[in-house]
Amino acid sequence: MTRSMTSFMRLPKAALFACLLGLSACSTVSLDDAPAPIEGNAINPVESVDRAGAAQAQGLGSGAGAEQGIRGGGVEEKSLNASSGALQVGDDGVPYAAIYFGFDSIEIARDYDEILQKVANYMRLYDSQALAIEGNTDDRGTSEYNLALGQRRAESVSRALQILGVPSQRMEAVSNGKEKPRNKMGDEAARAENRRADLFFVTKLP
Amino acid sequence: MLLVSPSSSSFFARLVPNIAIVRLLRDVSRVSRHQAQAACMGMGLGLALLAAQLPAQAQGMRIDITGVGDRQIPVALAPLLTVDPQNRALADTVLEVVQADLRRTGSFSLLPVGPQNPALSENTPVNASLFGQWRAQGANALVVGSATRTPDGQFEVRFRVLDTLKSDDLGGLVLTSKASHLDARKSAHRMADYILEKLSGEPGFFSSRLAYVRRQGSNHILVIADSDGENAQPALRSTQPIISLAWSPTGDRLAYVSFETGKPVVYVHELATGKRSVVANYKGSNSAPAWSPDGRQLAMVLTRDGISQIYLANADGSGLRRLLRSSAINTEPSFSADGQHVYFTSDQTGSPQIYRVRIDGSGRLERLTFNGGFNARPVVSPDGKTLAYVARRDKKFLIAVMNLETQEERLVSSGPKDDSPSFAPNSRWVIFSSRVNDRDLLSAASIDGRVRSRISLDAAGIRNPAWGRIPDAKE
Repeated sequence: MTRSMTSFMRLPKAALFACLLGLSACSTVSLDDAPAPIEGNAINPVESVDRAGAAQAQGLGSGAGAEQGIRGGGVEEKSLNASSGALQVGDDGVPYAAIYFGFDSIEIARDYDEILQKVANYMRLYDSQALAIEGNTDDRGTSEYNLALGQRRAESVSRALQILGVPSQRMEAVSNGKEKPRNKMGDEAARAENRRADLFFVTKLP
Repeated sequence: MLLVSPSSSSFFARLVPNIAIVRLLRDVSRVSRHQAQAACMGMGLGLALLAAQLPAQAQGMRIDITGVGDRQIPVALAPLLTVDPQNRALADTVLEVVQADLRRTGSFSLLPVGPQNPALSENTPVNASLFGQWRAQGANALVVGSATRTPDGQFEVRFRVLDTLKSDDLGGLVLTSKASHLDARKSAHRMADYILEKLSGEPGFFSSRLAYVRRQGSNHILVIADSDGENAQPALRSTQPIISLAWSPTGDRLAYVSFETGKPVVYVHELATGKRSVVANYKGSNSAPAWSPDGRQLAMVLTRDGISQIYLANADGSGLRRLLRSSAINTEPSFSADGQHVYFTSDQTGSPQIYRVRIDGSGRLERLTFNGGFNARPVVSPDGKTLAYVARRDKKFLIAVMNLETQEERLVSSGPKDDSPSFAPNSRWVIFSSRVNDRDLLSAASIDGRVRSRISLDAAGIRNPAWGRIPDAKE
């Protein structure tokens, strides 16, 4: 618990409260810090703690930003902390969420439905917000083939969001291939962590 | 945060070779000085600065060779005769570099040559007694020469290659360069190329250059070096990855993929001026540049229409057209030597395999690889006869070569994480990146699979090699 305390300080109150109730995994964070939308309540505050245990996250963060310190196969998400009045978030270089993939797979597990829906809702509310999706792969195989695989993962997320109503013009799917491994160890846990698409809110696409 | 700095052009202006070459003809042991000097006019300037960098660069570079050729040619390399002691150090450098180059091929065994009386040089009378003497010592060939200064202070190497078995004079060269160790090395590579060609029939490649990416802390440094890894000079520094280097056929430009803007974008970098231009920066990822043999076209992989697909464009990125329509990944294009086909990787059958298609997209798609579930990154040799690629066998990624005529496959490396094969200009060698004990280093293998060498740099990972052509010499 202590090693993820730093992250708690950046969590919305509801999330912090839920965590303090003794629930173990508390990586998913609601979007409820966003300023109140002008028309209706399109974003419902979301229960921040995973209920079914499907969205598992182990905070391995070493100090700063434990939101990013989740390893392998889980769901992770950072606080969408739009400052008051600002209708856009992002450009801080920190992914909002990460989606993990199986070996040689571009399939998005059902665990991520909730996160994708939240992203779609947010994109609908703030129509000048843009989203960059970066696909990554493990280190097996050639640089360029992995670049293509990472691209396919990013495209897979983009398509899922398009189905949820996000226009493709407001998203860019790109790939890092195997060039920017988050975990540089050569073991299977590292490879699983690197088979990933990161979602970044950005103020504009490149 | 982002640091991308093309290096100053002073070094790369010098990529135009600084060596003047005059052929030392058979039976003509003297070439007029006038001729040699005329040939070296117009050479670059500013070498003192570079010579000063040499000791640091030479440190830490190590080349390990495993395996030897079937048939090693025993060669006696006589020390270069120096009348003036000021030439001794440069002459020794030349001899060391020639020895290292020849050893690296695995095709030669070098016989020790002690002091001779009278000392040997290119002017030593070539006769039956000389041939007989060295044949008796086990040498199939003898190389003799000298090192001098021209009146204007240039360093001049003259040498002659003698076939002692056939009692034949195989001619030689007069190589004139600036009097620095760096330039003497270039003369030495030319000398080694000549010896290799004359004695083994294999075209030379030591005078070619390598490009690779060196990892230093959080920096990715694009480096241009001599074929032995020496004389390494940075061309670009970035905090983001640089991959997929490709030399233009003329050797003056390098195409590559840089992530400096946060995503993969294809650049063409003119080495002499340091000028860089974006040739593909479309929505999505832009990657895998490959030059057509005439240097007028680039094949690239774009994702602007969704999945990774191959496009052809003019060398400046204009005139973009899609090569194929496919719902599978198509990537890693490489032109055939005649420029009429593109080899590439596609996963249309579910696993990545190598295919070939005509550049106008017409005709049948031909599949070339059928062994194993992963064959990718094809690259065609400059002579068009061989294909090198990355193959997964027994869970290891290694380098395979295929004779394009017979489609016979040979594995030339042992993995486990080899990538980025690139041919030497003579098509007989492949250089590639490999990972050994968690370190990235460069390896080379002969396409007959017999000789392997490894180039390692202390404390730095090196990846993504690309072997350039041999620059034109003034002859």
